[in-house]
Amino acid sequence: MLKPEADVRTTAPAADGPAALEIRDLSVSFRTSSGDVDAVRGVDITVRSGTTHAIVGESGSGKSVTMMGVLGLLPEEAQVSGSIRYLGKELVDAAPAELRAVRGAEIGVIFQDPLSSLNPVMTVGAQILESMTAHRGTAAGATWKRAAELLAEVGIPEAERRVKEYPHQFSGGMRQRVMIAMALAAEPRVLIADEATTALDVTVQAQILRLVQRITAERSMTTIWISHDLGVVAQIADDITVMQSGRVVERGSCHDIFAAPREAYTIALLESMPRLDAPLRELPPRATATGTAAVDVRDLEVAYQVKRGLRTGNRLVRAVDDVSLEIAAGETVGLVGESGSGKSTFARALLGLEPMRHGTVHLAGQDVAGARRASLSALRRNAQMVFQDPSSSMNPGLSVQEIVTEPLLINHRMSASGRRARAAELLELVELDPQLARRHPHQLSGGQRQRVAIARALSLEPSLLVCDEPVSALDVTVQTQILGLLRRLQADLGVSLLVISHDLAVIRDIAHRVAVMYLGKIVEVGDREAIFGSPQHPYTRALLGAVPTPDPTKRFPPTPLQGDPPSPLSPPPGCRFHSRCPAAVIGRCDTTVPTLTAWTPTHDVACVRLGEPELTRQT
Amino acid sequence: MTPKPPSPSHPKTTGIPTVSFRARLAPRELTRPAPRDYTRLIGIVGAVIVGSLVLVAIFAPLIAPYDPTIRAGAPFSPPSAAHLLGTNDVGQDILSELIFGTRVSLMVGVVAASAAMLVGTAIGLVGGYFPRVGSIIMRGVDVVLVLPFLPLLIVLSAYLGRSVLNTILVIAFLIWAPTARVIRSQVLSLSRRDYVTAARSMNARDGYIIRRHVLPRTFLLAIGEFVAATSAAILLESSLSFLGLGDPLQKSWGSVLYWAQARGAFLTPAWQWWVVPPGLLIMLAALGFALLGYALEQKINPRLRRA
Ligand SMILES: Nc1ncnc2c1ncn2[C@@H]1O[C@H](COP(=O)(O)OP(=O)(O)OP(=O)(O)O)[C@@H](O)[C@H]1O
Ligand code: SF4
Ligand SMILES: [Mg+2]
Repeated sequence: MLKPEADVRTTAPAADGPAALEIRDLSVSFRTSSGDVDAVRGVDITVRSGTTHAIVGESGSGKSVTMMGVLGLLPEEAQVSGSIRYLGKELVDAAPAELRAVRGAEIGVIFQDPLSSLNPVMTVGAQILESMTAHRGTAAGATWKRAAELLAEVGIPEAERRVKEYPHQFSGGMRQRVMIAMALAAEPRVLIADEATTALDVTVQAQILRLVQRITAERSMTTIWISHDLGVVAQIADDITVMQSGRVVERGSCHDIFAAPREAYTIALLESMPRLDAPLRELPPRATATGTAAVDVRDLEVAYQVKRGLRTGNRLVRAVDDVSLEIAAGETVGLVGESGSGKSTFARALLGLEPMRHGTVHLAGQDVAGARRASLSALRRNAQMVFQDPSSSMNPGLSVQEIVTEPLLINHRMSASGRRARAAELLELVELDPQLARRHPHQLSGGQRQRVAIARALSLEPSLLVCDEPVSALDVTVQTQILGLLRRLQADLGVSLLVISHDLAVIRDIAHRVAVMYLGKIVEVGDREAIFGSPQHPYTRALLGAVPTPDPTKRFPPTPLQGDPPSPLSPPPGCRFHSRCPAAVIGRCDTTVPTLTAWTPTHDVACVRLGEPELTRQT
Repeated sequence: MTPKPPSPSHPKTTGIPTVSFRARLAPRELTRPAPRDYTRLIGIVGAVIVGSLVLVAIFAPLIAPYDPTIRAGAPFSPPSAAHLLGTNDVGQDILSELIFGTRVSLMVGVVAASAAMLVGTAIGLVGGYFPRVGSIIMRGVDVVLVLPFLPLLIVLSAYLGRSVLNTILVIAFLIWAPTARVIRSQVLSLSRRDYVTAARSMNARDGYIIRRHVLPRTFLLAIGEFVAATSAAILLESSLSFLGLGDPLQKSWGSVLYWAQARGAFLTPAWQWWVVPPGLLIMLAALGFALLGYALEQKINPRLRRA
């Protein structure tokens, strides 16, 4: 098990420390074939030594470009003006050798995607060694022992052994730890983290945040934290700079900005962010309980054959294992869980896109598995899907009109003029200008693209819309709009929704009922009020506890959930959560498989200790 | 099990070009200056070579000073004002032979490459779109890939007999396999896109998905492959003809070489005008098509991958 990170962030550092980094009037523009793009326009940022400075803003606001400028990592076509001083030393126009001396040796960086930043064919130890020698210019002290110590310091168990392993042998969270170890290898004084936890699960994110806080405090480092996530920022920042379209719109201490934002843009950002401590939002009413359920899944099992070595043969991954779920007409069910818990697999199985090994799926009362080709097509039209990444879910070569009406082309063979009219209707339904019909996906913004995807899913008037991470690729302000649109469509059309998200606050904003998945099983399911108000399963509680609250006065409790989810190839026996459960009792939890049991009439929990007073106290 | 790339929450995308910026900047790549891009230049050079050869082939009767089948001068004459590259053993003008030979060499190359392309694309398509069947088919492709080229070529054409059609068939049989591989990997990646899944969930049949979502984006790739395959086909045709296994009635660059060899030109000063020019032409043609193919692929491939 990992070393728990102690709660180290106690008091804010001295208010008027010397500046570690001073950025003055920085402008960066890129020459592109379609004219110049001003990515950063006259930015001033002062980072006080020994503090954590957060730069927040939506996509395209210039956060990353600013930091790339600091690191001298901008591509050749970038034109930079202004001044960047690191401890008084000017970095703009510095000689490459001087820059290299600062970068890496004085400033370490962690990127969002550890997999693409690590070399897949080198052991992690060799990569740590490389960054020690590359930046210091000397091999002194760069030993495997030191590399292993660093790995241990970032919380990797059995560091002595794992230092000889390759990146693919580490989980996502572990890889991010390795990246941190590499960034620390040259003992820099400044750490820049660019969306360092964005690709991670909330539970792992909480661990990494804690780790960065502990290490930077121990080494009295300065941290620059670039993020679009205000929750994360509230948890760790001392100072905040808010950027919008290449400019700084507001700056100040973390407490001030969260307590009393001055600029309209900051206020809008804070307000649009879905948060767990906001009052519950009014949802469209569900249909009466009597009608047939829109979806009725019983004991569904979906498994993949996974190729292993020659001798071990194929193994079975039960991505969805014995799952039952009902969705009433006009109801929204939210599905949450860590990455790899089987959420998407479940959704795809509903649409008949995955072969079921076991169990039944009824859509509007009809058996999907038993249907023949003809009626299967009718069934499939009843359920449509909206994907996470609107840019990859549409063929870039087709126009918006062709995309939106593709389901009609496939199924009804409506006439071309009929489809054109229908496209305009559909675009209006999702609040888009019908003029956009002639555009291509790359000419649309992320939010517009997701609206087009929703319009396409609605074109066959399905009774169920499955949305797999519908808003996670979008900025918060756009997120709010898309969630509002989904709620409105539900109220107007009475469509049922299955919304999958790793973001609990999003689920809380849209779902009537919530199901929590862990390693292919539903561990808790119930009404929104029950799941968010009185969660019973230790995993649900851990998930909720790991969500960073956008309030600097409420920082994390000392111990977030430890470790990563185990491999679904060999799920732990008994309760699958017992290897990470803070309430696990050895002898019971690892032998008895808990089944979903009614805790209240609208709230089921799968935990063998359900209802025991100690479990209730564990919160 | 291969680790799944993390999917929850990604950098958000808008139309502003700076967004994709971070994704492209892996730190490792940034520490080195980008190598200069010569693709354009390579493409232009290739296109000029190929273009000139095609023009020569089309206008051969206008360019060639003599009819290559008639006796135009004394046998074995060295280069002169009347015969720029001299004459061969029966007194035919070598320059004219080469000019007309361009037609045969290019035609065989292009037709063989087209046939290979059709087969390769079809097999790559099936192999990529139906992964189960595909993995079996691709075993077969691997076998073809490791076959020893030249011996097989010789055996096959000796067995089938000497005709242009047989030459084309044999060459096509030997060069379709690499195309099948390239096309398959493209189809494999295309058919896993979300928009294909989306179409499936809308009840689209395979035929529709292939026609609408897979083929159009594979087609571009096949063009680059086609040009590169032509280069290989031209080389193979020349080898066959040089070995005397080509159609005896058709004069190609390779058959000019064959007769030069048969009449001992390799051992006399005649090699300078009888052996070197056809050799250079073969090289030039192969190079031209290869360069053009490379440039096309460089241009098409990243675009397909990004999309
Ligand atoms: N085609 C496949 N072959 C083998 N294993 C697969 C395949 N697709 C998914 N899996 C495995 O099934 C499990 C569930 O995957 P799934 O994509 O449903 O998770 P998820 O909950 O949607 O995760 P995320 O939040 O990352 O989207 C994972 O362990 C995954 O590695
Ligand atoms: S059954 Fe045991 S291990 Fe599983 S959640 Fe309950 S207490 Fe934890
Ligand atoms: Mg998923």
